[in-house]
Amino acid sequence: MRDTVTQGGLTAWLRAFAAAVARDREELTDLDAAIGDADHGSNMDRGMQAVVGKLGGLSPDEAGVGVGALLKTVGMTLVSTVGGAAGPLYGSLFLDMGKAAGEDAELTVAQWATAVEAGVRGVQARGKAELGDKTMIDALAPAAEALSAAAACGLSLADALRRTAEAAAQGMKATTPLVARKGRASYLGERSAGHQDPGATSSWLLMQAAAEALASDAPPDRPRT
Amino acid sequence: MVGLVLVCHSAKLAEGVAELAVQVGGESLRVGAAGGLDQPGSPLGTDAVRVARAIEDVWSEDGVLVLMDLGSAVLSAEMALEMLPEERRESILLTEAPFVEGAVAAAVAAGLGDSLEKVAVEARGALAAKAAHLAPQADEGATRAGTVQAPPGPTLRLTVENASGLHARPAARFVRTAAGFEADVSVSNITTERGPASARSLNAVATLGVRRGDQILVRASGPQAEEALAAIRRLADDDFGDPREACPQAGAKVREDQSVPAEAGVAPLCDPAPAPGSVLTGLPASPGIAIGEARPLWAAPIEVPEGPPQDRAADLAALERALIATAGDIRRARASVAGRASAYDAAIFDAHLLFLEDEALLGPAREGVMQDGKNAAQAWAAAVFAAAATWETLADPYQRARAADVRSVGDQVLRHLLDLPADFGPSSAGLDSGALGIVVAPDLTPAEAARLDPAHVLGVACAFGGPTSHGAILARSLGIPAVVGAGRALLRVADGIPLALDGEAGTITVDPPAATILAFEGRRARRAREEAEAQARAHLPAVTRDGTVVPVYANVAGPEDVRAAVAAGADGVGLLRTEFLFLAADHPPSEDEQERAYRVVAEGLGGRPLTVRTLDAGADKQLSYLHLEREQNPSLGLRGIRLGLSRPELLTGQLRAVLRVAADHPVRVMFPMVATVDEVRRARELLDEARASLVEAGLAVPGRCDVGIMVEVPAAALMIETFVPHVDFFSLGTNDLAQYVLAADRGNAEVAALADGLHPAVLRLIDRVARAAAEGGQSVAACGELAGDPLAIPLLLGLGVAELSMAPARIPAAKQVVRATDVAAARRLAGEVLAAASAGEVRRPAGRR
Repeated sequence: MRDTVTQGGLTAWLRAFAAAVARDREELTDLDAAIGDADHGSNMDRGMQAVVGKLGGLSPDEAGVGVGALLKTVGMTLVSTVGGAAGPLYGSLFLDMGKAAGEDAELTVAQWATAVEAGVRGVQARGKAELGDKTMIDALAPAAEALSAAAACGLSLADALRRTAEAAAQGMKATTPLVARKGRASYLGERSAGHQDPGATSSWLLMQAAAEALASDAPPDRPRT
Repeated sequence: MVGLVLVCHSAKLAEGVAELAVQVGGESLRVGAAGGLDQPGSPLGTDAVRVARAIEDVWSEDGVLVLMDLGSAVLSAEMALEMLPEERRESILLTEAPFVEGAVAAAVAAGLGDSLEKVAVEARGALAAKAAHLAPQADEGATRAGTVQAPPGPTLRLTVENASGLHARPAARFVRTAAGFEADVSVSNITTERGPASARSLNAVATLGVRRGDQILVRASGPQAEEALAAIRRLADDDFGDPREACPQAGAKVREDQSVPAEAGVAPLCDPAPAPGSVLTGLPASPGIAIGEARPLWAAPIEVPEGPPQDRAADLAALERALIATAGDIRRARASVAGRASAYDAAIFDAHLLFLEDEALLGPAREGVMQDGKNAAQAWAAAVFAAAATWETLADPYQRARAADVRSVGDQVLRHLLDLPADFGPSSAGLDSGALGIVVAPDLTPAEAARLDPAHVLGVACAFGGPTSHGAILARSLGIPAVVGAGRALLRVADGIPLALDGEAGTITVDPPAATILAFEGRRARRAREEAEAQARAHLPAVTRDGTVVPVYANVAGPEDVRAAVAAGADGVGLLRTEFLFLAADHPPSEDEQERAYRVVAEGLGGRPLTVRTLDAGADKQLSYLHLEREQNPSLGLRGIRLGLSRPELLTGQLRAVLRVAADHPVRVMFPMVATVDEVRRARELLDEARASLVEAGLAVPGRCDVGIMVEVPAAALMIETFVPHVDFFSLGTNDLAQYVLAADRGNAEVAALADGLHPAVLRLIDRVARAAAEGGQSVAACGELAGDPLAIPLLLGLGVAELSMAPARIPAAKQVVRATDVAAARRLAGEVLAAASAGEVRRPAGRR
């Protein structure tokens, strides 16, 4: 295990997230069917498959451009392929993370926390959702907070990511009783209560995948030149 | 043309709506469909990258309106905006307009060449027609939105007999047909008593709810009014383009009824206040953007003094005088709007006149003075208050509205009684408190406009008047954005209502939605940047792209203007109006007084050249000491050089004063209103005499003092070759030249628009003058409105005008226009516009550059 986020770690994380989305595709869609338009699973799966395709197809130059550039590529890919609101929202998450990450080849835990915070702020700015609106933010905001706290305490990357995923899980579960105030689910009003939010669920999957794979030492897809 | 971008989840939907849009907006419509994902199977969804690309594809300086369906479409559109270059974002508007209806309405407006704001307003208002159709009585507010005052002019009465009435595509065809002519067209639904609505607005026409069998009244005014009506009749004969089978009564589709007199307007007697978001369209009078609160200037509160009359009989007599004076005012106002506005508008004034004879008002007012011991103003105010209160208790909204009329007339009388400035003045509400705002007024006389303080007035909005009326000219010279002729509805805008005024498009948006404000502010910011840049370069010479230096001078009306002129970057004074010296007193100014005044001006210029125009007064100016006969037609009377030659002592004194200053400063002299060579010969003789007498008196004279004439009389322009041997320069007075060439008084709002300096007839004369001068070696200047008009400057330079002189406020921007001009290209353009058939045709190519 390493204590920095590398491009290898990032690709491992994104592949793990893509795999998780593919695995839970039907579950995400079912959650969405209850309170939305039943496309979150398929939309995210399509988007992440496109991302994985991009990762495989990166030229050696692109593969070596640094964490920020890779994150931005992921963001643009999601913007163009997800289709639903998750497209611009996850797109903003990765684009803003990319901007904050800059051109470094590796990020420390603190730098990673800063990038994640910037990404979550981007999602909030895009969707104008607040904590408790029953959206992705309910998982992402506590996750980013936990990550920053962990970084401030000097925890290792692996520990910090684990705490992040736990915070995301709690936030996700907390969406169940909430009444949706944003997105398609908000049309249901009170009837949206009692269902876990699909967006918060995919966001938890994202953080869970980070805990599993981001700290990995996996080499980048292509050797650096 | 404004571009449209359609963002939605389905590629098919976006393409289908785009197809509809092209159908109503025309083949040249710039529309981009950004629906669905660019993925195998074309899944539902939106893609910000695709949206950004679509915007780029249809983008132009005119802007882009983006319509979206829901959810991710909104997020993707916002994201797309961020992907575009920052300077383009200002002209891209995301609208909440309904997707299909909005796209169709926007397409029509965009196809007509409307501004982004107007296209957006059309799009947002697009649900009104459907709402009105489904619940005809439910939403009166919506049906009022497009209500306009009906222009006077020929009318056409039709019974609409095609299946769908004037909805959707038939309505769009109606709008496109009407817009094809130089005419103001309005349409009313006589059957349902709705309208009149502007035929330029699809929403407005659609909200009339014209169904099969309804009678409509189409009214047109303007040069091509008859042609417009004929085309509309043909369109109606063709079932407004509806397929034949949709119209079972084909053959007897439309009955053309008898023409109806103009009085038969169906406008409500009292216009409602314009609805929030509605756009009042007038004429652009002074460029610029203004956002601010309405400051209706005729509504200044009047403080009525309390206390007993000084003398009951005297107070009663004062009241009578005030009533008579008010009646005179009302008759004059009636004359100025009659014909131009509808006869109905003029009828309002008749109603006001009746109030002045109404015993229900006069009785209590007289009693108040005679029996209750009130002063006349107090007694009158009380009577008006009581009468207005009575009207207000009535149930009928039409009758309730009379209260406002009573108060309006009552105030007019009070102003006369208390000797307050008529309807307007520095004491008016808003301006007095120093609050910034947009002045809202029926029309501005020169005296009123002269009191506008740019520090307090963000913009000027007039219900009546034309762009070349004195008020508009003054607003331009003060750099205050202005729209005139916006219609009576403007006068219903209450104090403090936010307005967004576009002095270039000629529109006023009432209580504008946030998006309009944002768009305006964006444009204002851009304009401010441009102005700052122009200001920063104002003191540098104006050099065209191909290296010609063009002196940009100021027109000034007295020594107090010189500082502003120099600050604005003037390269000198191209026109010193000397009337200020002659109007100020009840005796002609002495030679010494004049000499001092001209010297102050010359010294203020610090070595920059000064052109002094000799007295240009006539019977229309108050020069009591000249004892001029009252003239039927002062603008064709004894004025300008004619007056100077008829009073040689007046002109000689002025010339001596000018020569004395010219001994020490670069000064040249210019004679106004020259029609014949003989006038120049005689004026030069007086100049020679003045010089000889100065030499004789031992005073210094200049070795040389250039002599020029104003070219404003068409005869002078036509005979320009004969003047060449006698003068050193020509200065084109384009305002008067236009007014004399087109035989249209620019102070008469009914014909003011005719007196357009960009009319090819005027330009051909300018061309003639410039050619003759080029052969003879004289320089040609322009000092009318045209010289400071950014649209006209390249044309003038292309025609061979070498110097420009304008209101100081216009100098920085004018210099920038000069800098952007390539004289060789301008010459080609000038050659083209000389062949144009109308001022409108001239303005089009000039505006596109």
